[in-house]
Amino acid sequence: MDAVMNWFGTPVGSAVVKVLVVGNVVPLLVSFLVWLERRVAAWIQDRTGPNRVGPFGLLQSFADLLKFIFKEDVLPGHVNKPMYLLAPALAVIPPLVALAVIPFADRMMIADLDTGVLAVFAFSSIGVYALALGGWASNSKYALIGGVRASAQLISYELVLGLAALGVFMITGSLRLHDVVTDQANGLLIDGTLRDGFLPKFFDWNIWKQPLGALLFFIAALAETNRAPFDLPEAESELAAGYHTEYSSMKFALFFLGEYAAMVAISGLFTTLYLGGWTLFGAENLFAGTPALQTAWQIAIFTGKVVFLLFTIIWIRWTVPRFRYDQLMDLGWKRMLPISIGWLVFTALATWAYAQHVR
Amino acid sequence: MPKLTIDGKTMEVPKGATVIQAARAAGIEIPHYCWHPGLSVAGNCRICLVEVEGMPTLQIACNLLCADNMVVRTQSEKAKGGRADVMELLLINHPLDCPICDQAGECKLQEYSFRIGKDRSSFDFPKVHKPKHVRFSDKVMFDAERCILCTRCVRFCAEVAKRDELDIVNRGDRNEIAVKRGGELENDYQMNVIDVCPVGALTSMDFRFKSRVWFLENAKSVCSGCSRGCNVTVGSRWNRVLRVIPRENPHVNQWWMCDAGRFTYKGNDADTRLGAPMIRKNGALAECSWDEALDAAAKGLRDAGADLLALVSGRLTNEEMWLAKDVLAHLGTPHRDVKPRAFAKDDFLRTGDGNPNSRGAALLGIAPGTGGSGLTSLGSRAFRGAALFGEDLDDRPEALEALSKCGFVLVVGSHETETSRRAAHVVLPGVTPFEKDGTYVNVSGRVQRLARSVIAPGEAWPDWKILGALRARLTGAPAPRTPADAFAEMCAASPAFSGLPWNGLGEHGADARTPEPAGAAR
Amino acid sequence: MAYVKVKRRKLTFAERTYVAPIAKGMVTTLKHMLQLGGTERVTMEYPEQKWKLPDRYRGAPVLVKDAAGREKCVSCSMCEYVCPPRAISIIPGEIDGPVEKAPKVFDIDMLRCIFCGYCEEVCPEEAIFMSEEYELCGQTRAEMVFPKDKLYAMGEKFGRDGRTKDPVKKYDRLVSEAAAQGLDLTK
Repeated sequence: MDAVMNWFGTPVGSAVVKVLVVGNVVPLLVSFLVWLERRVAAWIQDRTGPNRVGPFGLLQSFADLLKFIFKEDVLPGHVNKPMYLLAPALAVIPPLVALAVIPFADRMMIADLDTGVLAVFAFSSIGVYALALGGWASNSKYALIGGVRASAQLISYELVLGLAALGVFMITGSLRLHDVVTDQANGLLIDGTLRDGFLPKFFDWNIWKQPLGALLFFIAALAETNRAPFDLPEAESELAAGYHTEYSSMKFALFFLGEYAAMVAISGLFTTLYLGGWTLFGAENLFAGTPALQTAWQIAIFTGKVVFLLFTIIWIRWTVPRFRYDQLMDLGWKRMLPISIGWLVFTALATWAYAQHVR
Repeated sequence: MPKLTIDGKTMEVPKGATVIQAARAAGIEIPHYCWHPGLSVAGNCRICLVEVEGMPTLQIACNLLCADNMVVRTQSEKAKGGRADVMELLLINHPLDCPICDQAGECKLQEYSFRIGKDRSSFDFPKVHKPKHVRFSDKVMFDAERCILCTRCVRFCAEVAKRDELDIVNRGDRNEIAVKRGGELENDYQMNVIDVCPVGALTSMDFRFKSRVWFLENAKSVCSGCSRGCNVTVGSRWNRVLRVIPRENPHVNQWWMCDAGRFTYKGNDADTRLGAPMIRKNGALAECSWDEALDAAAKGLRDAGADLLALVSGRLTNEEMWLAKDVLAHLGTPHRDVKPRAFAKDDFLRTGDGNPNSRGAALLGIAPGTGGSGLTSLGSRAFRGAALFGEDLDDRPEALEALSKCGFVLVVGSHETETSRRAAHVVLPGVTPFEKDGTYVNVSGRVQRLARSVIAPGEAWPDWKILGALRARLTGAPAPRTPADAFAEMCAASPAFSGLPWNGLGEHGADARTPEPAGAAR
Repeated sequence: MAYVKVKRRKLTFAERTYVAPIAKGMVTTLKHMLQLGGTERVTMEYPEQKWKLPDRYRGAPVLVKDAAGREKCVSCSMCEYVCPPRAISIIPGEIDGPVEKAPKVFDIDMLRCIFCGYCEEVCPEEAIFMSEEYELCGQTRAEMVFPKDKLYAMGEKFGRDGRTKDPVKKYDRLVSEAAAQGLDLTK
């Protein structure tokens, strides 16, 4: 018994536990997210939304899952089978892996990498393969157009995403996400003294130091996750279902899961970079006496922020109409990229000036 | 030859013709209830009122003799008004129970009320009620309320059936038709009163409430009850024959037919109908495919060869008889015969010969050939094989006994019979006269079309198709694809039918070419 | 004037950033989400809430009986004849009494029925009515062919509000008239 407990104490053991927890919590969150998406959409459209399965219809996603499981797994005859089967798996894995480096509580992350956010970007950029492969391997015009759109869009906005995030690391001076979070929890240095009251801690969040960067990051994040108004790869009114037109049953469900998991991951990243991660103006240390409770509390704070972001993303989806593809490219390359570069230069100069001042 | 004008049409008619006849010949229909072309003139319904120039009042067309220079108007306002008034009078006591009445749809009262009557009655008082559903016999039902007292039925019994069984009883508005001396209708033509009745007063007990007449699919055919070949209309629905009623043919049956003829359809839906070909294996008949059965039949016939006794039914059509004869000629057997079938006989329509096509059999020479023996020799002489085309020997036990000893017996028939059960080695399911097209020759030599009204059950084939297939297997001659093909083949080869057109036979048929062969009439 | 030159308003800088208009739109959607500013949910929770049907609603056709509990239908087959999709099939039968005739079999194939109401309109006996029943479902095709008993049971439910006209079979009048004349039509 002790041996087992000790094993859990080792880095490998604790990582396994965390993987199991994250690997199960994220799909659960996704199922909640799907329900939230449909309910919010309904409310915005003066409807009721799914309210039949379970309390408030919360179990709707499980009913849907059951349906997906029992649906016939159609394998079209005209597809490139290995690629066709690979695509759904590729859609799910990168966002789950990206979640590995995001701290959801103090020192609670699966892998505390020095490269931190670079790993996140590296993994999430693999996601484009799922869309491109799925679209191409389906051997169908809608899917192919969806796939091509996805690859162009994701590559374009990845650039903006990275450039926008760079400002945060300039301020923090570290790529470790744990450092990014703790850096936002210190409070502001005003007149040479460190103030750690509520307001200084609140305004220590990177979103106030990097407002334009945060906005650019958020918009790019929407595009990266194929969310409206940038959902051109699936654009159901133009492309049937875009890159996953030819997918059915659980394979389709995996795409679905991947898309929503990507939303969770990017929201988690945004929370970490700009909204202070698991911190809450000092309130995150409320249960400092009992470490277990403390961790749970911090996870709850983190989750709350993530859910708020997810809600905002959904809210935007049901408010803003879809961009035209040329507008999308125009916005990405001709507006956001110059602005983000300009913002990066400004941040660099501001950071340098601040450093001179503090010295 | 009086020359008169009706509705602006001038015509010359034979002396003694009435206006209604003249108008009818000219294609002008004058409404009528009591007048019937086959019955005497009664003139009591008054619906055939027409206006005649120079006459002060409207005249009934049925009893008005045509005269020279007469000018008749059937569509003048006065004539139309008069007929509308008569319609109103006739409907005073009519119960208007059309939803229940079987006549609805072929009711003259409905037709004329709709066409020439008024849409309401000015009569306010309660209607006179009379007995409904009175049984005149087990074939005829009477409803006194619906009756308009036209006396067509009374006249039919007296004049055509020659049994004066019906009359009008009571007085005034209590008038009603009744069977004399309170008995039942007994004559053998009594169901014709149902057809002559213009309203729903007399209805058929057999057809009662079976179906509304407008749902019936009607086929113009010929009765297969006896050799008279009365023209009939066969009404069917749900692929079932529901009634057989006479059809006018001045050359054969005028407007009438006997009661027995109306019931010829009764066996058509019997449980004993054959639905699949059968071969006897290990002593029991087993169902098999048509190919298998036809091959077995052809082999059996070929083996029996010239020692085959063939019974060709007098109920088969000319085409079938001709195909059968062709098959027998190829086999070289002279032993062929038609089984006589008894039927009631009288001096009106019924001939006493229950084979509807015995005349056709005679014309085609279906009788023992030179050195051949017939049905009567069965039992005294052993045959190697026997073929019964549409025939059975259920009524002749000794012959059946002898038949069952034959080496090979082929039975083609529509129903399962004792003969097919006991004696047959191969049974091929044929059809009844209601299920095939063809021609019959009636007792007076008239070739008439038989029309299919329903589809045979299961896999049954029309007999002409069976015989055509058998012939194809035996001789290689092509099987006729339709009865019309077989008819054309027969007409080309048989002088009795030479030059007769299949389609040109029309509704009334045509006379066969050959003078009546001696001894053919029975 | 073959064409009209549309003059477009020049957008302000704030509008061209998209941010302000999007924020405005999000306020609007938020109002709907929270049911503020006069917005309300329009969804009808169907099995619990139901439409109030108009008086002339044409639901499933049903058969009704008269006030004395007798079949009004005399199987005249007019509905069978008039029915455009041939949903009705009737086999008439003979019964005792003055009416003589009543349906032995009266089937309506609800899968075929197009709810046109011709049967109600054509019926000379006021025996068939378009009810308010629209919840028709079954597991098999055979189940959806409603037999006479079921149609009468549905008619029983429908007739309670007095919407079936002519509650007494019209033959009652004939029978009483005949009785006054000394003739018993009920035999």
